[in-house]
Parts: sequence; C-alpha cells; structure tokens
Amino acid sequence: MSLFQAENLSINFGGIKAVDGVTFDVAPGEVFTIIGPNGAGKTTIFNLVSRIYEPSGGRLTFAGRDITNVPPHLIASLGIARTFQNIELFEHASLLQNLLLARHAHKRSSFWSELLFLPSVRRMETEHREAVEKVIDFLDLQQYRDSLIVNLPYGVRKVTELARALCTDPRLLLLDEPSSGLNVEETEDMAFWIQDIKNLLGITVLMVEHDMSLVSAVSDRVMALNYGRPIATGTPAEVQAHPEVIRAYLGG
Amino acid sequence: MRFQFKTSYNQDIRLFRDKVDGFWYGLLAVAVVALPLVLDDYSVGEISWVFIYGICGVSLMVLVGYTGLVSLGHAAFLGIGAYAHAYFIMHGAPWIVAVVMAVVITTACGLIVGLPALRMTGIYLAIATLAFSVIIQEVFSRWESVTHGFAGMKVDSPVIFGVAVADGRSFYFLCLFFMVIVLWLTRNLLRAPTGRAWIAIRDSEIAAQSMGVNLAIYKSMAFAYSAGLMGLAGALFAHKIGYLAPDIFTILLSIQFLLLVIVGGLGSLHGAIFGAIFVALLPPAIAILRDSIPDTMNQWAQDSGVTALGLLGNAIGEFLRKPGVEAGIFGLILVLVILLEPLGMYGRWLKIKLFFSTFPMYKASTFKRQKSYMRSERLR
Repeated sequence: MSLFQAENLSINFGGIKAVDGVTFDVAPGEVFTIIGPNGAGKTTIFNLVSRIYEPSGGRLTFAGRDITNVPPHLIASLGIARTFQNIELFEHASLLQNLLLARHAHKRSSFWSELLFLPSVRRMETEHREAVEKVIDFLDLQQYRDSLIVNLPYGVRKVTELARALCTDPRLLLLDEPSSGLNVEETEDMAFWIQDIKNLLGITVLMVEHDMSLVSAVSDRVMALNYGRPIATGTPAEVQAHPEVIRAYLGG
Repeated sequence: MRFQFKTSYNQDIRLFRDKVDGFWYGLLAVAVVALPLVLDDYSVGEISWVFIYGICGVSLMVLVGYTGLVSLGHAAFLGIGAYAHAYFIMHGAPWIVAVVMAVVITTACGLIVGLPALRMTGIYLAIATLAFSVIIQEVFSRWESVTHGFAGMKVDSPVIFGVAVADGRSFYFLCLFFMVIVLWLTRNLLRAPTGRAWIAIRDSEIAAQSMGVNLAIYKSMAFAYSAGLMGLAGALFAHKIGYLAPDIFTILLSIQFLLLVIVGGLGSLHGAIFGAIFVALLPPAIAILRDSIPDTMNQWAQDSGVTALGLLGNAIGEFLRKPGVEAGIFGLILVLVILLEPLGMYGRWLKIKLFFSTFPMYKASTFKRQKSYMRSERLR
C-alpha cells in the first residue's frame, strides 16, 4: 500500500507540456527522489502536489484519499509539508515565529478567544511552542531562535526551511533541492538529517535533488525525468547507469 | 545591557518582556494620566488627537505593516464610522450602542472592500481603495437624508450612561481608554496565530498557503479588523471635530494616515503611536513656531542690535503662515524618513536605546541588513 500516488499527472503552460503523464508512487517510510536536467518539470510536480498549480490531467492520492481537488491551504493539515527551492521564509519575523506559523494547520483557537487572549489560547501557544522546541533541538537551531531571518546566513535559512516543514507534523515531506547553495559539509549534514527524518521520525520523504552524492546517500528509489516524462525509475545505481538518463544529461 | 534569563515559554508570550519593561510602561501610564492635571485646556485637546490618530495608526498598521496590504481609502472608513455614529446618536440611540453600530457598519464595509484585495496587491490595491474612498465621499455629499450633505451634521458631546463628557479633560480620558483597549486587543491578536498568519502573508503568500493559512480568510479578516478600528476612531473623531462635512474625509487624510505609519515605523505597534504623536502634534507645533520664532528673533535683534536677525525672524514667520506649508513640511519629512530611516521613528528609538544600553560598545552596523538577491522567481 503506497502512501502517495500520482497517476498520469499532467500540466500544460500554453503549448508546453511541463509535466506529461507522470505516474509514480511513494511507499510509506521511503525516500523517493526525482532527478532530471533543468526544466525537466521536477519543481512543477512539487507545485502540483502542494496544489499551487492546477493539474490539467491525472490524479493525486494521499493516504487513500483523492487530493486532486483539495485547496492548497488544506494540504498541510492532511500531513504534507514542503520546502522551497528559493527559500520562502518569512524574512522579517524571528526564526521562532517562522516555526510557530508552521503550527497553523493545528490551530484550534477562534478569532474571539485570540482577541482576548483567553487562557485556552495561552495553553495552546505553549503546546505549539513545545512542538517547535522539539524540532529546534532536532536540527540544532537553538542559538538562532530569536534572530530575524534577514540576519541569518544562507545555510541556516536552508535548515530553517526544513525545520518549518517539520513543525507541521507531516507524514510526507517534500524537499525541493535541499542542498542547493550549500557547501560540501552542509550537504553532508543535510544527508544525515534526511536519514534521521526517515529513520527516527518515520516521515516519508519525496525529494527533488541535483547533487548525486546526496541522492545516492539517502534515496531508496529514484525517478529520472526529462521534458516532463519519466525515463527511468529504480535504485540510485540503476537509474544512474540507465542509458536514457545518461543521454538526457550528456546529450547525444 | 540587560540579559534575559528565560525559564518558561510564558516569558515569550506575555505582554511585557520583564519587570523592568513593565515598570517603564507603568511610569508612562502614570505620566499620561497625570498630564491633564498639569497642562492647559488647549494642549489637552491636542493630545486627545494623538489618541484618536493612535487608533487610526494601529488600524492601518495591521493592514499595511503586518499584512502587507496598502490602502489609500482609510479616510473613507473613518468617515463611515463618524457618520454612522452621528446618525445613531441623532436618532436617540444610547452612546455605547451608536459606537458599536459604527464599528459593525465599518467592519462590514471593510469586508466588502476587502474582497477585491483577495486578488490585488501593491499599487493595484492602492488604486482600488482610492476609488472606494472617492465613491464614499460622493455618497457622503449626496445621501442627504442620512448625512445632511454639504449642510453638515452637528455632533454633540457624548453622554455615556447618563454622564455627560462635555469638557476636554474627560474626553481626553475617553480617547485614552479606547486607545489602550485597541492596543491591548491588537497586541493579543499579534501574539496569537492570527497575527502570525498576517505576518506570513506579508512576507510570502505562497509559503503561508503551504503552511495552512487560508489567504482569502486572513486577508478579509485583516481588512475587516482594520476597518472596524477605523470605525471606532471615527466615532471619537466625530465628537472631537464636532461638525461633520463630506470634505473632511478626502484622499489627503488617507495619505496622512499612510504617512503616519511610515514615519512611525512599519511593522510595530510602537510605530503607530510614534507616528500618531508626530502627525497630531506637528500642526500645533508649526502654529506655535510661526508666532514664537519672529518674537524671539526680534527680541534677540533688540538685545544685540543686529536688525538682520529680526528681519530673518519675520521672514520665517511669514513663510510658515503661507498656505500649504504644513503639507510641504509633511512631505519633506516623509521623504527624509524614507531616505534616512526606513524603519521610521520606532527604528530610531531602538537604535538610541541600544546605544545607551551597550554604551561604549555600540556598533552602527548592528542594524545593517544584508541585501539578498536570492529570490529570483515568485509564484503568484
């Protein structure tokens, strides 16, 4: 039984078929990676899964439920969280506020109770804070807790994005190029964290990544895309050796 | 430099950071309550404006500073609140009921105006709200059965539960009371999930959406809340000004509110109050200066025998008396603030505070922001 399924997923931008009949499924507890040259449609698939784009065809299923028509703001409460390729943090807020916002899907207080800041709101805020602190400890972000995001270096922002996604308590985590812009050491840290997320937290990961060392280190299965179509699926070694994949990357 | 030792999550939630902060705010409260005992009637009246503008500032701060939606139509909300309040009072409603009706009606208008805001941002939203404000102004002048058009509408002093608030001093406390309530409610929202959702919308709509924020609901909520506060301010404004006419609630007033939040410092409640002090007290300051500058300089000229000083003083007084000088000075200050202190008066205040608390160690670069060119594409 797979946790997430995409069937025949397609989207057109004008005449361009950015994603063209992509079918894949992600088993619970695995790390599934999508690779492909620039413009292959990897990030577009993420935007389709998080419902920011409307698919022109196909079906998305998550935990046995059809999510093709779920509005984008309800995706988080279903248990799908994502990071962004070009960091999309709330820049003029502290790291803590960024992570607390990720608890929004678990918000139960009403406008009126918040207006008066009733004891119930205070209690829930403390609960959210406890959940956030667990993630801060997990990713070693303690020292940056009160810094504004604009003052943080790029590497920390990248980890903050991961932290924010984890704070939503996801079952499926979408990571859009977690290593882009990171140095070798930071990429290694990222690989450890992805393994920990899978093994310790039991979260299923769907990832888009270019760095093949990271892909080989953490992925259970890899799908290669080119021009919006899947060309190979299998273990990292199988996909890297696939003649179509080599042709897509090297030309010829 | 004070270091805070945190032992409980409540320390990050409560109203005042610590006892020292609480002490200073307490002292401020005592000072504000004591002011009318010391000052003359004229000054007390002018400071009441600070409180009314303070409510307006908080209203616009929620929308512009926290949610990132620009409005050029807030004078219209103020007008709707003022006219609604005056109308219900004229028809015999108790004062408190009239205030509640003013708030409810403006909130409803805010919701309606907020609908296009769901699809528009930036300059387009500013234009849409500007159009709304022009329409509302026309409604004020034509809907004579309610607003009495250009004939105007007299507003009596408030009578609350049978107690008349006739003099300036009691009205001062009335305005102060409402401003403190508004600050408290808004601060509550801002430290709760709703406020965070607004900040998230301001900084990245797409990320906010992916974290579960319903953009449509939270943007409408920001518009409605902001308009509701404007309605409350409008009720007080009606009493303060005493006579309502359609040409009070023009685009210029809306721009003045925008100037208030920018000069005060976007993205902070302190900024709204600093801005209100500035906007409310600059015109009386100019009025005082245009008499006192020529007088003092003529005095100096007599004492020192340099007649040029007296002539210069008279010229400055003459200049300050020219029509439009006030607007010019407002504009000049706005330009200077944007160029020199984008964080506004509150930003400057923080810097001064940090300078003294870290005294020999202060570095100007603490507030320098790294420019980021990473954000190449935006999904809209």
